[in-house]
Amino acid sequence: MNTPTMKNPFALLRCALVVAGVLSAPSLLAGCGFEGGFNSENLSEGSRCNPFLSHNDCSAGAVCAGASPSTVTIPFCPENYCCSANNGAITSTNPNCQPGCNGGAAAMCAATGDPVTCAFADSGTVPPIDAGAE
Amino acid sequence: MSAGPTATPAAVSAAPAPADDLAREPFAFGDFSWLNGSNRQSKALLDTPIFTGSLLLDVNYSASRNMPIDNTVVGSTVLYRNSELTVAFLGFGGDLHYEHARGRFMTQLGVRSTGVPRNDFSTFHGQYDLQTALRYVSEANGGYHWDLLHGVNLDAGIFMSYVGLFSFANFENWMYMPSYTSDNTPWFFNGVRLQMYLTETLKIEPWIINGWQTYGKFNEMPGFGSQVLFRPADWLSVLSNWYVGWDAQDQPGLFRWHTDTSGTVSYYHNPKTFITRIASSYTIDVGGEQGDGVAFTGSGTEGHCTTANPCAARFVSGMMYHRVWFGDTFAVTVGGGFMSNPSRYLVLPPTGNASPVPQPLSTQGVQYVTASSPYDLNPGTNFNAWDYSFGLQYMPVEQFTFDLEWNHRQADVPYFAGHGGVTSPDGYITTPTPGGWRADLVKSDDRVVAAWLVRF
Repeated sequence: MNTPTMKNPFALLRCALVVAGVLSAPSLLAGCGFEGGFNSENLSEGSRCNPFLSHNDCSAGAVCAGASPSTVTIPFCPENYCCSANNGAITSTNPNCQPGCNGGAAAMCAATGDPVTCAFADSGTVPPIDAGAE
Repeated sequence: MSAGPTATPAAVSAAPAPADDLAREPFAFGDFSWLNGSNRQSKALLDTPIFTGSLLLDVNYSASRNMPIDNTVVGSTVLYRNSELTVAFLGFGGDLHYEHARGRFMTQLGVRSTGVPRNDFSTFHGQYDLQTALRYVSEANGGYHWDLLHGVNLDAGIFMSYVGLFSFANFENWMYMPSYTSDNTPWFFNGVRLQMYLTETLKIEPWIINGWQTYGKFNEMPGFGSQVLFRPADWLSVLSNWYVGWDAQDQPGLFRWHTDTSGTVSYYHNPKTFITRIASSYTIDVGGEQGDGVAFTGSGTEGHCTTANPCAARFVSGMMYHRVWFGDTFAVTVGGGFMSNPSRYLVLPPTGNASPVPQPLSTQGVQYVTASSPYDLNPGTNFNAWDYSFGLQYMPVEQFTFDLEWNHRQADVPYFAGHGGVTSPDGYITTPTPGGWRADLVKSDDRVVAAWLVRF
């Protein structure tokens, strides 16, 4: 191991530069796109969210919608996404916030075989309320 | 675990060798401690005449910008948990050496004891739960040494592989998180190896093994391979591996072949200057699967792979790293690589509810529940990915390394853990998943990695 001494100016310079490099690492990482990263709060629209959290992890104006226990549901959707909503009605145009949530209906159909869900997955049309009652 | 891809005969022979013999010890003519995948330590502290002990501790912390809610990493063999301090590996063991008998063992405690065995599908072939039986052992081999040529060793058991250049012991590596060429190729083999040191610069090491990083065997045929290590000068190392095996369930006509070649060159070395050494490594892997509906090239599509119209199944990858040393204490490394693996036979399968294979320990406890959205590893699928990384290593003494690095990975299909994770709506395995719930897989992963590496 090289020990920095006045007899070895290169060693001193090495240590000084590396220490400076370590101290500036956060700036370097931010420059690589890390700024705003490492954040599970204020999630953007269409992002996955956690419906079991004690608070809303979505950004302002959005709620964690989708499957239970979300109070704002996305029809035929097995997951949960941040969606803009007004008085419990989804207003978002994000594909993950639409009925079937961008492939979710097909996944539910494959898993459950529910005829109503499968009909929606095939047609993309939300069935009437009494559909499947027979 | 061992000192790089070499275990020199002198290290395992108790009888003191004459000076002439020591001079002929393979690879002893130069200093190769700078190599990626080699131990930089100059001496073993826990050394006795019959046992040389070793202890390895590998603790990491990594954080992905995706911030998966289940704290789970997908697609790595060195990182498994996100935003947590993780004991990745605790190994203790060493080398036994008495006269011409030799043995080595190393434990495998920490999260690697679950993360590494899970990629071995051969353990689902038959009974007695080989994953549990062997998950706490990373190396267990022994054999005999002959004073022939420059040394000949015959060992049987579980031994390390250096396919993909990097060492399983992260203490020996230039970077903590390797590129796909290393991550997606074997860390160990289970079988018999014959190490032949033909000259002081050349080793040839054939293997007969159970399979491609497998505890068990898929079909009747074992796997065959060899390593060739050539170090003509102390600034150059060439490592080459090849493998042929039959590693697919219920497809005895499908064989896998693989070639792996690395060159590492130190093209600047001056201990008296600010930059003391500069070196780079270059690795290229080419392989494929042939038979039973797949071939190196093919135009078949998923679900329609036939012998007449096979689907493409190949592995083409490369990686390159560049490292600069500032004395013995600091080094910075930058590098990256790519892989193309149609039919995904070397893609590390995602875990949790995206796992395509049974994983009792990572889903719902001992009661296995079928994954809700298993990752498609069928023939005819596509997978292309690339990565880059850069990092700093602080090595104040020979027994400790602090590693800090940034890693970016990208794939052309969803693969890495997204914010929703791969476990359940809230990330806990105890929370039921609604029918059809899909694991959240995304195409990119940016993360910072910090690691504490201790070796005695």
